[in-house]
Amino acid sequence: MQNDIDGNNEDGKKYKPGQYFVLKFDFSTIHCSPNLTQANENLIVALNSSFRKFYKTYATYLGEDFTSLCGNIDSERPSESLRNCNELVKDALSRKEDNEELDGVQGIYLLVDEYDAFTNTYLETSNIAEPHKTTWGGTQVGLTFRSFWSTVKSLCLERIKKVFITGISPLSLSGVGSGFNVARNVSFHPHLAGLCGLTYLDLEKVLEEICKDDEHDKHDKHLLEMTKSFNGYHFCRNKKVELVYNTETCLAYLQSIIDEGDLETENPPNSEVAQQFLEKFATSASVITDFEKALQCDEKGNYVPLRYTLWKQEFTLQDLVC
Amino acid sequence: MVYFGALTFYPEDPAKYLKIPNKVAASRIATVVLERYHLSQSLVVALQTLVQDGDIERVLSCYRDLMTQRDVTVGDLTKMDEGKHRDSFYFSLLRNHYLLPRAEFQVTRVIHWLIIG
Repeated sequence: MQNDIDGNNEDGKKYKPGQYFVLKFDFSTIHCSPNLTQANENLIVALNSSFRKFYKTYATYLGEDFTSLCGNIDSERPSESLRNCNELVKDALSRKEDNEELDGVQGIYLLVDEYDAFTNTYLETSNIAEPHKTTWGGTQVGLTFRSFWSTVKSLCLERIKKVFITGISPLSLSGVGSGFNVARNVSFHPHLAGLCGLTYLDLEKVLEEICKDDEHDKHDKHLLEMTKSFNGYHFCRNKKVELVYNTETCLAYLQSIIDEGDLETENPPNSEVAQQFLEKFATSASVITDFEKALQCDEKGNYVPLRYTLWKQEFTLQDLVC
Repeated sequence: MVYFGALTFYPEDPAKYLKIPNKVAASRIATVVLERYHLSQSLVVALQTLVQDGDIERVLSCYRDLMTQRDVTVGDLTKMDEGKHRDSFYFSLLRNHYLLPRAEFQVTRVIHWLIIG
């Protein structure tokens, strides 16, 4: 990616930097209080803090000082803060002739990280009386969340030009966000299959560097160990692509080599396979049956493949709890 | 489960098959299956873990299960003190008669011949 921006590729510069004001939200940092009133306050504070960071970064271009810009933050309704932010950017871009630095700027690029981290916390395990229920259904925190996403959608027709959302589950924002049905799931697009992991070559190069002074030349041993424990992710369902390694666990392992610490391959803390979710899945008998089948190995020691028929592109919070 | 990292698309036929990606995922799935059948709570496994890793958590978990079955009145709780818990823990779990290893002896099969007088 950096080569694409710097122009070091054969095609030259593929991407021009500085075309957007970047507004970033991170839902993983929001404290998920069991008290839903408190959770709503935490959600509002977290969303509004993103606007403060945005104004701090771009005050020069928005024509007002930071304190004055912060006056556009609605302390109770983040959706209004977003609407106001959109207006400020619209005004700034309408005065492009006053500031040539804004030449080529198209609008806001909205980045949302771990968009489902907050909602996943409020999943309730199923019960017979009310099988389709989330803790926050119909509460103020649910309304704040929904209102935020429906505002994002409406502003996509204005100065929000691009939205890139990352998270774990393909939670349907059309269900949660009252009609945010404009998203496209690119998780398994062949061109992006290598985005969420490290390749064999990446690790080989790093290990060559790290182990160059090692007397026992443990380069191959480490690579083999990491391949067994952290490799195997195939993020494409249309065609065969290169397998990738789990980035976080690999980085932790590499750091341990450098620090001469314990090399954790059995139960690494940063693995994406969250025990909490596996336990929820395991309440289903059919899932347990699949798990048992998937744990079997063939004569070469490879885990046997499981056949699937229906692939759901997205699901709702209700689907997850029933 | 694909999104949560437990399974991934099978590279040779990703449109039809899924598989466990690696050892870490397999280990976590296996743990969940064991939990599901309550196998991880067996005393034998708990004691093995204590001996091998020094991890007492599983044995304490077994003791808690015993307590919930035994201490069913207010008196059971108020009359218990640390010494009683220690003795219960020691004799019911660590020195449990059924868990002690028994020596095996070689025996010779005796063949009875019927002697007809």
